[in-house]
Amino acid sequence: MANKDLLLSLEDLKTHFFSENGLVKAVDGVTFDIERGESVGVVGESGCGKSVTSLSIMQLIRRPRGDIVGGKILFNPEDGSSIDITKLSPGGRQMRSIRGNQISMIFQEPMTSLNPVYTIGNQIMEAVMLHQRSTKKQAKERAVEMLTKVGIPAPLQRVDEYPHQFSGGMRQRAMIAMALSCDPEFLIADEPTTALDVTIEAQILRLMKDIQQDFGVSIMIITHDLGVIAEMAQRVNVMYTGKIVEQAVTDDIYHNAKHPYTQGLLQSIPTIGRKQRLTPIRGSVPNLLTLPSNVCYFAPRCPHAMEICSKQEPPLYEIDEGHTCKCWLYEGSKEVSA
Amino acid sequence: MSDMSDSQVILDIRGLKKYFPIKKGIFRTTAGWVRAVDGVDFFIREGETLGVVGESGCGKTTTGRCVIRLLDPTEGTVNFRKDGTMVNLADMTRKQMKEIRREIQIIFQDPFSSLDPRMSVLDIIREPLRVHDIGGRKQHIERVGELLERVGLRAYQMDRYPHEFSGGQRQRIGIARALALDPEVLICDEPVSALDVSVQAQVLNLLSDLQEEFHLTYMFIAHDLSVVEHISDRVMVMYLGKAVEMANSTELYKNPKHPYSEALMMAIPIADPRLQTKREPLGGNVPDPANPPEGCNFNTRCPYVQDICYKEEPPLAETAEGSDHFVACHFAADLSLAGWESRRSTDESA
Repeated sequence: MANKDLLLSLEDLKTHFFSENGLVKAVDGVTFDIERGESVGVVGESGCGKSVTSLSIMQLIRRPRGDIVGGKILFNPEDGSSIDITKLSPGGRQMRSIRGNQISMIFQEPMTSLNPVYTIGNQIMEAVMLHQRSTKKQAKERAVEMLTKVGIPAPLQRVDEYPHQFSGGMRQRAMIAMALSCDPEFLIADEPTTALDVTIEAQILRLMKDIQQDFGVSIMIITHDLGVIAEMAQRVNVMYTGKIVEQAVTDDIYHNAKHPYTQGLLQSIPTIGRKQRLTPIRGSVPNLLTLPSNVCYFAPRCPHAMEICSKQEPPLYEIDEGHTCKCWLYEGSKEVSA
Repeated sequence: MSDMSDSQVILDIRGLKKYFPIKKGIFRTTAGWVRAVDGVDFFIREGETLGVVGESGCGKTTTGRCVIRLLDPTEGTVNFRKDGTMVNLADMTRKQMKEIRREIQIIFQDPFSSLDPRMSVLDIIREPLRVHDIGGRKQHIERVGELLERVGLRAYQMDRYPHEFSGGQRQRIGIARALALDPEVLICDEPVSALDVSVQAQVLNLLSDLQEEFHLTYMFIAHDLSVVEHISDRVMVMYLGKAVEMANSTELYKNPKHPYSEALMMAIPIADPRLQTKREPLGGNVPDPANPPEGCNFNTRCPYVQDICYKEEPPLAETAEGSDHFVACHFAADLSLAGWESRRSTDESA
């Protein structure tokens, strides 16, 4: 690897599903990098492929209904090795030693992702004992330590409680404790605050920021909420129908958006203190089953659509350093090979 | 609150309570009460939008359902102005209530579960007309076509079924059904929270247009603070079954007077990386509504809490005569709280 700060890079990742009604290209040629210690956001509406991207990285795509059909996921852990995750068997020893250990994940709904019949402590200990080969006693100490770090009061008592005895915010804290218990290098957070109330959401976002600093873990945060991304991410990838349409540092996404879809999203959300009529994007997200190939998928909803947009798929253009956009409006800029 | 005299008030709710029993044991004896709504006072003026915000379990949905009597209030009055006189909906029989529902309708959150999948769009939208015995099939078809076009769908789509529509389109069908009887008041219970951002904006604009065209009054219940600020003329903030603040929306977001409202203003996820708060977020959790704290119910989390807050419950009172800003805090006049704009000044200098 040329860049030793590169933790993970997706190269032209394609994850498709084979449904009864036809082929669904949920992720269709996604390329982006995550550097060590960085937090990267992936934002988009339902069906854009943001969650499937994260499940692909974890090798959690259920076969044979879906599969990674192309591209690479290069993971460069601190030991200097470089692993292409797409080459690993999902149930194989190597993948199991990565999943939950070097790369871990927190999900949207902390109630359904915790097992109701085991105590919180047991669920944290399971990961620790499996991956770190520690004794039961050490694992329990680790569980208490982790619960303390994520701000759960009375951890010595709470460690023996069951998920239903925790509130929604506390459950998400416990999930974070579990995800961090094996000291991962990379944490994927899939809509981590979507199910939470606004004051609890603020607590969890603050906790994730603190944890990133303390543990030096890289975070990929996936959400539909542009407010959460603005607060958490240093760089943002905007996805639409399985493809990344714009990539930039966070401030550029919000103050210098180039892709008509990004611009449309920002104009759709109400801004406090500006009681203007909203400018929605017309139409709705298309059905992935009926998409034509080799066109811009946003063209039917785009206010700037040109003739070429429905004839040929636009390449990715580099508009500025670190700011790319997949749109014919920027024809003439430097093309980036995907 | 002495707003019975205010001739613009169309709904005036006083001391509204709704307790749900907690059943235990084989005899299902009542072991306690969940105080979902615990003494709420508010009013809505004709033609305005009152936004109701608060976190889950604060009682905002229950309040909305008590107003339209989908739930029977445990206590309190729900006065509605009908033909110039105030009538108390809380005392009405089912039959009387049926008449009132011509005037007050409701839109639900989830456009997937609120439409019967086995009914065509025509049948869904004309059901209120049938229930109220208005017109025959021919008139219904005409009316439904008109309503569909008005909410941004096409009249020829009336023979289709809900599953053929996207989430945003289904919400439009729900709106058309609510409008079928030409109501005066619409209770909108989280009408856009299940929708994608780009579609959410379409539905919000539609609601604004309909309000103007039909002179509708909205009670807009939502947890998204940006959406509520956008659509509301006035906003009521609820916490643990009580109204803690009610004021003009611009005023409330700029100058909150209740510590909970201030915490909300600091916690709103604003879609601008330059407006991020540096403040510590509000700690703790919402207490159990079956066992609310003594005194002010915010005393377990309030950063400004004093002795009196554990003993006496502050009433909802107007900050000054005619200010139209109501707050339930012992120290509303003394505290200088920060609104959302403080995030701008601190962060741009940083």
